[in-house]
Amino acid sequence: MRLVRTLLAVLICATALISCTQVRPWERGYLARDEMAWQADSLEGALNDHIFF
Amino acid sequence: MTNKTKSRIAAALLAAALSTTALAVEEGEKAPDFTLPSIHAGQPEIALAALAGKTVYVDFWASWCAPCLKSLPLYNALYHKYKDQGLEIVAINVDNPVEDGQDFLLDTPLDFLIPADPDGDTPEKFEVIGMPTSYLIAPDGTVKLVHMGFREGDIELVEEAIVKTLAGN
Amino acid sequence: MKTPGSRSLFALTSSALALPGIALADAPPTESSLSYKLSNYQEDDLSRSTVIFGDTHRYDIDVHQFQLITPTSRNTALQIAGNYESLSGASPRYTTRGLNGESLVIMSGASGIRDRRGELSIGGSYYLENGSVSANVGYSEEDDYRASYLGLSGERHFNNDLTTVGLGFSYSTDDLFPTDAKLFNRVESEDKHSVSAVISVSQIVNRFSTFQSALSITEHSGFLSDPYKLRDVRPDNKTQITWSNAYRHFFVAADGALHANYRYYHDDFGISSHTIDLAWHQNLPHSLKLVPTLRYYSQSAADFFTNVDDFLNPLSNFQSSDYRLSAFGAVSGSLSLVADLGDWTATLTTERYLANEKYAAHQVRLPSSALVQYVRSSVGIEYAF
Repeated sequence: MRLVRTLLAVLICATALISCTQVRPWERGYLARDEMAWQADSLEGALNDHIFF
Repeated sequence: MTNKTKSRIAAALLAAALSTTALAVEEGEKAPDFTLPSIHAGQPEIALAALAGKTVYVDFWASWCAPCLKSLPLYNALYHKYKDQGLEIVAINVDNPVEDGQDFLLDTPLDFLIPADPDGDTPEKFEVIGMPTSYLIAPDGTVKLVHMGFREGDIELVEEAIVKTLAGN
Repeated sequence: MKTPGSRSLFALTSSALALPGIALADAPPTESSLSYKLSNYQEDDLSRSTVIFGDTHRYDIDVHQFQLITPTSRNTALQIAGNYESLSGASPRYTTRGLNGESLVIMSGASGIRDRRGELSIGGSYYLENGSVSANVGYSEEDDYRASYLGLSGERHFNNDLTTVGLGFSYSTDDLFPTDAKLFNRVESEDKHSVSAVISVSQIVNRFSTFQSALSITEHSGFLSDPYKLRDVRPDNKTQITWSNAYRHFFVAADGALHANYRYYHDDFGISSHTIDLAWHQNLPHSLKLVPTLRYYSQSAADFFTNVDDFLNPLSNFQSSDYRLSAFGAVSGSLSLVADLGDWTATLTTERYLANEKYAAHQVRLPSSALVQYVRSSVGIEYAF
């Protein structure tokens, strides 16, 4: 439980540290690219989830 | 959780709450003026002031915005239907590099005015908070409709608003 | 390959993360997409000197996957996914000590196992002004196993859509009835349940990069041992946590994107693991994309892992020689070629994986002799309409 609390605090801090610049909605062209998705090939992601542990 | 972490989270959440209530250009307000080059090389500049007296539908789009691309051919059909009644469509492309917008237009011919604003000054002026966003401007320069996003059924909504504005309401 | 029934977390994360990109959330996808992937997974044979009895051929698995994602209204989308796999090959049944103190493996049966598995999941998403909620249910069945799961998740955007917070829950229930149970004195019918929760934060860092961090906790309870091993006794509950991090960066000059992920895992069996994986998505002329990837994995052993089965140990003591609970490291790499053919997209992938106690990030006291090496090849096709 203590481990979970510590990790949650780390998670929030890590993200708070990184969030800095304002990126306007019309400036998100590069982020919208297929290759910038969290999972570019969802079936590949599902296959890896199935194989790896 | 330490007190330092708690106050950091509170600050972040407060900032988030404040930033979502940005002062966007709202219905009833006067639309900001702009003068932009056309995306097509060799074509004249496009200024909103020059279109005074007409019903102008201003739309912000980009080649990377899938709902935008779905909407443009539908807007083209609307333009042909109502241009003789005084409708003008100004679809401001915000692609940076602008070549991405030009490449899209090579495959999809559109007949209305298409200015290019790769620096993003005009969407900034209109305080656009999502892509796409469109503004229906009456002949007197007031914004009649602010529409965000483009989903199934939206074209009917837009057409209805255009018809109302063309009729003088 | 993972032990069956480890899908509860997947059910949850994949639906939340399958959304069309961080830049344009809050609306259903503008197009429908139908995809299919065929893969072959083949483990290397164990050496004859390690296997003193049984087939040296390990698993050979063919996997068919399909997925349909389609907008169903202004605010909703539907996702249907399924997979079918057929497996053949042998797996380690028990281990014993050789003349030189090394661990030797006895494989299951002379002709190995044959198994088929099918899975279907259906999910829906509802899009609101500043976020979305999703739910999905799934069912899988194989000759000796049945599992059902359901997941619920939601996400909300903050800060002009720069920050997204996600929350998810899932539950799964599995039933196991090993084949030839009476014949080999195995348990005849057992079950297990898993409950999982995940919280994630995604952040747009700048025009070129995004970052995501997720924390999940899962509680398994029930029969967690492997019924096909001669001696495999595990606790009847397991708590595991996972901390995943993902960074994406687009390099304009190179016209490519870097994917860097780090995952930390820990459970109360005593296993801790680190995974680092990197991928480079390189855009090429003629609408092609080349994607090389590299993955490094290191895990510590479960407290009760032994690389030589001790049959004199009382049955009340936890014990397992399953290589998946041993300390080891693994290095794998893959290469994919993606071709954008208009409405169709084709993908070819090949992957090589090598596990070895020498690759672990720490000293390994009891290496397993049954670590896996495999080759995996896939061909995928997607149709957008």
